Amino acid sequence: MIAAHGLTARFGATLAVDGVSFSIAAGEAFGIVGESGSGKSTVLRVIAGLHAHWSGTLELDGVPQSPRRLRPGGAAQMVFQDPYGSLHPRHTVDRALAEPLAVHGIAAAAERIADALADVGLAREHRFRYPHQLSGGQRQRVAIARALILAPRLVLLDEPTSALDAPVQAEILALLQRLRREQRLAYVLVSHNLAVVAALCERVAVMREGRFVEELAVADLRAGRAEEPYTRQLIEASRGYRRR
Amino acid sequence: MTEGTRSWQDWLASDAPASRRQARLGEAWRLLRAFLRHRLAVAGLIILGLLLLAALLAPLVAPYPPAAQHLAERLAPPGAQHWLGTDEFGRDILSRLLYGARITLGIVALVTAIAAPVGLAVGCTAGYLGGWADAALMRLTDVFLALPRLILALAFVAALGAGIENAILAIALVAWPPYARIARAETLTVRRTDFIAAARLMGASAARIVLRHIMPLCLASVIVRVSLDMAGVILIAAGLGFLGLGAQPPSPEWGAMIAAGRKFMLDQWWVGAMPGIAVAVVSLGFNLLGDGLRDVLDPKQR
Repeated sequence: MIAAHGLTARFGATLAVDGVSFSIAAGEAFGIVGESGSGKSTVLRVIAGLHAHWSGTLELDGVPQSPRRLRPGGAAQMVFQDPYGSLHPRHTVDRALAEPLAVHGIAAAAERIADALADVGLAREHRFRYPHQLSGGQRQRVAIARALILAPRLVLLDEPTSALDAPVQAEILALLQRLRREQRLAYVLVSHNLAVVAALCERVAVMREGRFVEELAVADLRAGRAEEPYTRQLIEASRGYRRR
Repeated sequence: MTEGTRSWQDWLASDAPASRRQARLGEAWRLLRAFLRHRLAVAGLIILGLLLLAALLAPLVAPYPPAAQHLAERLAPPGAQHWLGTDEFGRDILSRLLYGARITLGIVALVTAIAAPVGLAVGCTAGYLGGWADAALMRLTDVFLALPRLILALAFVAALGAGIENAILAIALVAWPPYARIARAETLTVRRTDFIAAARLMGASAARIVLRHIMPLCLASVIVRVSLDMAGVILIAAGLGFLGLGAQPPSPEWGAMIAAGRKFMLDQWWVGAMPGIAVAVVSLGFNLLGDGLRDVLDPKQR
């Protein structure tokens, strides 16, 4: 589905992503963990075509992409970290979901919108609300519905739960798990939270200062079978503070 | 309050609208209620409502035809016959003011209809595209901003020829640059947001993003600025009329009327003062309205 080799991305003079290689099969869920500033979100934005200053090779569905014309179109969609900033403040839920359909000239918009809302567990009464009339969790559901309404095969998740309270986080994670099973989606999930990645993904890359430190299966992560000291450190930190 | 009025208000204020129309009307209802809480803004709206009424009903309410001359009654002071007096040709000043409201409103409406969309389009396009498009469009804007508005309008009218149509065109040509500036500034604050990134990701074209996603967000600031600028537009129109470059006699344009009153300022003050008061009151109305709109529409203060 995606194959990247020596992917490098810059912000001006700073190197955000430094020669990263990975491949993701159709229907697979791949996690990238790392601390803030490690470049993990930039990897997502490059795949999404939102960051043009990159080099290296990137193939989507076997088609090589170039930085100037990277248009994943409907094949890849993204869910952003902050549900308060990812919905247009003057568009109702209905309008937010109608827009991608209108862009792609898809008919029967009304039914598809109703289905998409039902898929993410929103009631009919939410359909004509503005974002300011919704809670954070409801907004994130709308953002997920907007990403899925074009029936993508790859969904890019940029810290989809980190702006939400703990109980809502669990709901959104369960929703993402169910949707992936039902719609055979591939995920690239970026998070600083090992628990979130472990819940959703099969394979994890640990990222630090623009490079992949280690790539391992989630089962190994859970069992604490990490080779790199930095990964062990992250696992240790995720277990929280313990009295010695 | 009866049962019936409650239910339609509940319908408008509903948290769970059942249709696109209800959602849109509900949002308008919230804005209207916020606006009505602002007393001075409502006063401004009433002034402008009266102006609109005067313009629409001028033939019905004006006591005399605006160009009818009664040389026997020339320069009559305000009184029972002529409430606001007569000018040097014996024309009733009140009637001329009422008909002049049409010209003033026409100028305001046309200038808004030309300048606001142009400014909005230039600013949003420059802000969203960035790079050389931004540089080219904004340097052009700077050229217009660098010259004082009245002087530039004067130059345009002088080049195009005197007359009300050319005056409107000239005012519109000098009025758009501030709107372009505001629209660009608003665009820069939203172009990097996630909801615009999402629109790009769904494959929306740049034109669609600018028109449907960015412009609606810039519109509020531009509307506020336009309503605050209207007083200035009326003054420039009156100024051009005063200098003889705007509306031509016998048209009852307020600026031209003030210019005619200049000759009699000391002995027959009402000839110049009445249209002057009209200009001042209407300008005040627009300013009060603009202030209220800023409080209601400005997204930063919500």
